[in-house]
Amino acid sequence: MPAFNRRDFLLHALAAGTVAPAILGSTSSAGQASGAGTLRVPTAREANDLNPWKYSGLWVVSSLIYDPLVSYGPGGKIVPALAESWTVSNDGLDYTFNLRKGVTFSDGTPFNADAALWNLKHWIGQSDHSWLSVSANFEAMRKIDDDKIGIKLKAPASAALIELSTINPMRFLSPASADADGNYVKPVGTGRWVVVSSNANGTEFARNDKYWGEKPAHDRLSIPVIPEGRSRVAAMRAGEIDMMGGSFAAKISPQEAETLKTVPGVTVVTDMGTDTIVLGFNPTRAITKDPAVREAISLCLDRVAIAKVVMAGYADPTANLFPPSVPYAGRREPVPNRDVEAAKQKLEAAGWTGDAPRQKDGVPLALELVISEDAVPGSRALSEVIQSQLNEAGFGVTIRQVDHVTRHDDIPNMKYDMSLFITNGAPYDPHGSITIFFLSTFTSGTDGKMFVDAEHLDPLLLKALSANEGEREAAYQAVLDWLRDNHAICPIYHAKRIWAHTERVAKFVFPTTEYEMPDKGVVLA
Amino acid sequence: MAQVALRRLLSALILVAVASVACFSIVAVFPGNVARVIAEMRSSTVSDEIVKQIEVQYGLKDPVPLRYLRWAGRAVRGDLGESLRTGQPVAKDLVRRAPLTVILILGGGAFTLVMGMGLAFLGALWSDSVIDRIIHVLSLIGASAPKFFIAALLVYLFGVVFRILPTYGFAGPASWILPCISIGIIPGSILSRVARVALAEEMSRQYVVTAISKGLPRRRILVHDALPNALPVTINAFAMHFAFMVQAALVIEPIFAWQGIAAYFVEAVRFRDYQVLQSCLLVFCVFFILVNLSVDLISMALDPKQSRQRLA
Repeated sequence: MPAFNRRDFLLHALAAGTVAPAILGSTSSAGQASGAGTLRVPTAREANDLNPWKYSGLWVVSSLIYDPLVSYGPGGKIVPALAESWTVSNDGLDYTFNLRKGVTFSDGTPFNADAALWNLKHWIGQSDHSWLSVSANFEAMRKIDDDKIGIKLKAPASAALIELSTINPMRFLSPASADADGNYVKPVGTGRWVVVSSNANGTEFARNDKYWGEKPAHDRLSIPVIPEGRSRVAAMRAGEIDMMGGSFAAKISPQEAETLKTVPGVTVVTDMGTDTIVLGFNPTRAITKDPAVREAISLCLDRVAIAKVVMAGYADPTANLFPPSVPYAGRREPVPNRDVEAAKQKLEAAGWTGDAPRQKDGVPLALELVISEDAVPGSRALSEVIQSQLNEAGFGVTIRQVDHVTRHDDIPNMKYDMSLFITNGAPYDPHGSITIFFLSTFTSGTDGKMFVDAEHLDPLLLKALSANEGEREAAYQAVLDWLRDNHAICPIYHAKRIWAHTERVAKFVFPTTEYEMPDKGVVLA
Repeated sequence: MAQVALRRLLSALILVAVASVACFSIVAVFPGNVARVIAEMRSSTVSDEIVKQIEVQYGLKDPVPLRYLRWAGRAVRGDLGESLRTGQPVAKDLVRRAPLTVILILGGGAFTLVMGMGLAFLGALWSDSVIDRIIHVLSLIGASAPKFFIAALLVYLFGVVFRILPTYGFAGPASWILPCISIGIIPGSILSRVARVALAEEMSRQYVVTAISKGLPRRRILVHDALPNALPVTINAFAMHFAFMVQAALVIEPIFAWQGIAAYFVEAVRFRDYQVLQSCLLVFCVFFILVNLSVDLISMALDPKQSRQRLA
């Protein structure tokens, strides 16, 4: 056997030292596109099916490909998109849209009345989409001329224009990209970006040079899939991604935001959120039917401390169902201070006496709090704080943590005493959440109900949902007042929107809703 | 030898059949109604009518044995059904994702072998020296650290601080290094202890004392005499950890954003995508059985005493 002396060792080490950096350096940006003109933004899940008429794809990715007729602007103002202008008849039944002239899909197919109606036929008026009032109330549609279409409704739908600004199934696919039967084949829209590839590793985009509006300054957009939050933070620290965040793209937890704040070259930006974390009650259970119990629960909660500690300050404590960033959010209610003694007195007066758990007619004041991290991220920590705060007043709270599927079975089947809910946020609120979570006649499916009262609450809800613009504010306020006066729910906090970006992003602009990816206004350094 | 191999192959086939029943039963008894999750992809708010339609369409309310037979019948023809979450054929997705998991496990296995045998050999070469003790301590630390912690540490060091390796993604050999080390470092540490003890045992035997007394160098005895005799024990230990690398891949693939079979399984668990779950579990079981079968056959080839015992 030949001897391996010190000189051989040094020679081999030198060779390895020369070759290794060449190999490593050649692929050091593995997993993501690079280049001065590429913006890199991760998502936690793959884009999946980008069919604009289905609900299985990732909407933040779809929002880059497809455009709506109208857009949701700041404060809920509806602004032009593929429709330059529109009119609504006095009875709220006839909508006429003047389509933007000269728009083409990225494959060159013209966007006109025929293309618009071809798209609408794929969803409007169909049962799968009846959760949308514009679809549930649809009667007919027609081509007025090449650049004008009309939609007729059976009954007024005050949220019709807002719904038309949302993502799936509203947006427009190129008819040329469908098969002979009109079925979706590949994602081709009129949006700012064209899909180059999309798979489990991510989606790669090239700028749509045929875009009708202001084109992006950078020519590529890379959206890698990075499922783990810690991995995304590491990738940002390593300079492998340029920005991340959002509720539906790649959520940054308050703890991750605190970490990123300490990283040189990384900026954490926040904005007022549009949703609310709410402790909801099962209205069919005897204990939670008692308003005194619900009021006592509300008094026990220290919303300020929860926002400060559990959310590390990335939330605003609240007693309102909607944050002020949502239209018709109602009068701001003062955030109640925690008052355990007052809670105990309410329970004593209602007949709940004794040590924890208190009892009434032999029934213990024991409540089950059902939570799911998939439905409400961070709910484990929040529920433990709630449990501890309620225990002080004599409640016996047990926490049942379930997975995505079990929650989606238990909540609609009312297998809970209390649960944490999250409102839909813009652009779906306030009409979306008050319909889904409170209207007794509406089947909420997997979302479940925060509270229902068919006799007293439903008439107020229906009035708000059908009110004309002049009456709408007062009608929504009446709903919110009823919920407050009856201690029907416990709003806890409005989580802030959190995004982070590196120095490669010279200008960051929040999208108007969390369902869309930051794009317009974002400028690379 | 061929007779033993045939016997082991037959028992492996029976094990696969039993594993398929176990996989299906585990997934079938999970709580919750998967029809609601499927319905959610069809409509944003799910009506009971849609849920019932889906239950009928997917046969979700049929008795479990009937569902199993239906699934097994298709599976033996290579049709593993469609993912409930994506609608894509599971078999096609498995084939597309398999190279990533194969590279991770083979790379991790190679790292385990090099690390385990290398450290054991160095320790045995300089037995009871400072080097041996340092290796001992490092092996214990490596064996007791959690996988996710090691992965995070490596990413921080080589991705964030030195920026010489990518922190995520699957794009070329450079991107394979950290995941393969992360998955191989714990079994490598354990293997180094097993091999070190096996080598120490061999080095204390009479034939080694005789060889040393005849003036043969320690390194030569270690390589030519002790190592071959310590191999069967070491290979068995390695195989056990190699087979369990699938389990480790469930942690490692998501950390490095590798879209392999393990990551597919993790996503499927969240969405109760039972078509994917059953298929992935079956793939994991088959892998486990095949590794064990291979090791048995390799051990028999290396150590003729074993095949004689099994035939007896």
